[in-house]
Amino acid sequence: MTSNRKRPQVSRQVISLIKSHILVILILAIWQICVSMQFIPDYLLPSPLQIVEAFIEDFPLLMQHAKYTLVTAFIGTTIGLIISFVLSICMDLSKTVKELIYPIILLNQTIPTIAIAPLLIIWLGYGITPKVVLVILAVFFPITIALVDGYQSVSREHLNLFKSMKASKYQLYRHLKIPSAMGSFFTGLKVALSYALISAVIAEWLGGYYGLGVYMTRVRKSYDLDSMFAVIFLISFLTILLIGFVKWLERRMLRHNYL
Amino acid sequence: MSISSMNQFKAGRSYSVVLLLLLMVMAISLMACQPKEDSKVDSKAENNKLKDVVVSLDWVPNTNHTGLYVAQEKGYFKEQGLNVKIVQPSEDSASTLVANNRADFGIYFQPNMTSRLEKGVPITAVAAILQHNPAGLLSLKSLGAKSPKDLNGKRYSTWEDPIDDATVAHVVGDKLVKIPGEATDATVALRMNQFDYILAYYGWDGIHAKMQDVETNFFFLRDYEPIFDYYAPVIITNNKLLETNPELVKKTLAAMKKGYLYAAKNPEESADILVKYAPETNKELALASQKYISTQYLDDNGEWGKFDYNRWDRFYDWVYKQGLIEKPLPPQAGVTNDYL
Repeated sequence: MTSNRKRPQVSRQVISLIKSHILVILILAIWQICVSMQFIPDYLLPSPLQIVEAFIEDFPLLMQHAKYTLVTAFIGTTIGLIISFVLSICMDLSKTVKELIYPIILLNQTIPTIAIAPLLIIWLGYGITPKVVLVILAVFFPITIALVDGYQSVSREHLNLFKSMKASKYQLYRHLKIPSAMGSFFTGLKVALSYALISAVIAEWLGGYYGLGVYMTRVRKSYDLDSMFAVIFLISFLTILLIGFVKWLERRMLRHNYL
Repeated sequence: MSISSMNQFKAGRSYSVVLLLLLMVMAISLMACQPKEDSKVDSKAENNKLKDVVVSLDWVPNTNHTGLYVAQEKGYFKEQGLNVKIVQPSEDSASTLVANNRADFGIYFQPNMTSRLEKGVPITAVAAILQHNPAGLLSLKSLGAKSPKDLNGKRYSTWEDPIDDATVAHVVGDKLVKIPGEATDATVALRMNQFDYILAYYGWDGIHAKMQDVETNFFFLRDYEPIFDYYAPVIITNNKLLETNPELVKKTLAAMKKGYLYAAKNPEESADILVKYAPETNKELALASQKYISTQYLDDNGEWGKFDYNRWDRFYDWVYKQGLIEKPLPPQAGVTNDYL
């Protein structure tokens, strides 16, 4: 019975997988043909096959650099998460704090990364610190905003219920506000993660020893466009992977909500 | 079954998963950090008596820097009791890093030093990497220019540096048709007809064009105006370091000199060393460039690093006379041979 029900589901999944990727495959094929037929010279745009070749050739190097970038993004995101949780709760607890902090957070988000990154490096050196700071600056905004919005989406009925049961502030957050904010938290986290990796890369452009950003500047100055595209695709792939992980986690954690 | 008990069940689980996630991320970060810290401690213990020195490149590693990597690879820095770290900064920030003690030495360029020296930034050039200015005007052969004068009125790609623009105008003529922007790949941009000529370095862009089988003309600035045989690139250091620790400067320069002397004699092996330290670099381009640059490191007497003060001052005089700086710079501003 179950296997009968599963089979069409599986084939449907395969079909939908092909369907959702057919456009990508088509674009790659057209791209390859355009470059192979020299409609576009390969010094302007390398072909997908050249990019794959460059990727394979530089694979160990790319992985070594990717390690540093991922570590930077992870540490930055973790610290960003902690700051966001603390800040969002403070902002939710007190209207004054919210009114004080909100413009600063907003202002922080309007600072162009490329402008402050060189300063961060002068202040904090070439190590991992300025890069982590940059990632924190990028990630904490979407997460904080998502959390604050999430806390405020709690319905009045629930709040009244908790009040009538004389719930403490801790209990209120632990059992009502934080769980209710999880949905919007994950939306924020997905946005944040897509920023995290690219912020780490931008920080690495501006100096350092290792990282995908360092790789990028160097192959650019070597005029190796195929390696350049290889690293761009790697960054996209890693970002998709990270967001996929968050989606999976979200599904697992919020399963009960859909009951 | 009240709402709160359902919520409690929900919250209990999601809360613990969040905590778990946080712990996981932290554990991964810590684990990832651990080996790095360890190796740091190890190398520190090993290099107990070595003095840490940070050398900042001008930007990404290229053949101007080969001597530094040779000195690193061959242990010339260690011989001098130095533990040298070579770092890649963002473009045009080496002087700021050196001025702020974020780096002990930096690679920089005489024209870029002008405004810094005018503002009193405490930097001094202590060695010339190349004996003659490798900058010139790159254009396609098909443009048919026989000399820079033929480029007058043609489209010039500029990154809008006033001194560079004045330099170009001086050799080309007063009709500068500026196309602002950063040309990542000069050869491609020329082929795409985005502009007609660009100020470039022969040792990298000129060689790259040759490798691409693109027929180009390259007019060295110095061939058309001797004043423009200024120094690029140079090694700079902080004035305070010169005062407080002249020995350190001398030792570092001695090791660098040995590296450049070796690179001058062994271009192929040196190109390999550069690529070893910066494996992202295009190997063919590095080798072709190295074969040329290696002939440019030393002066006619086979010496490395020495400045001709007359040439140095002549350029700054010209900059002042052009009205590009308000006050004239004193003779030998920001330059010395004393530590070589």
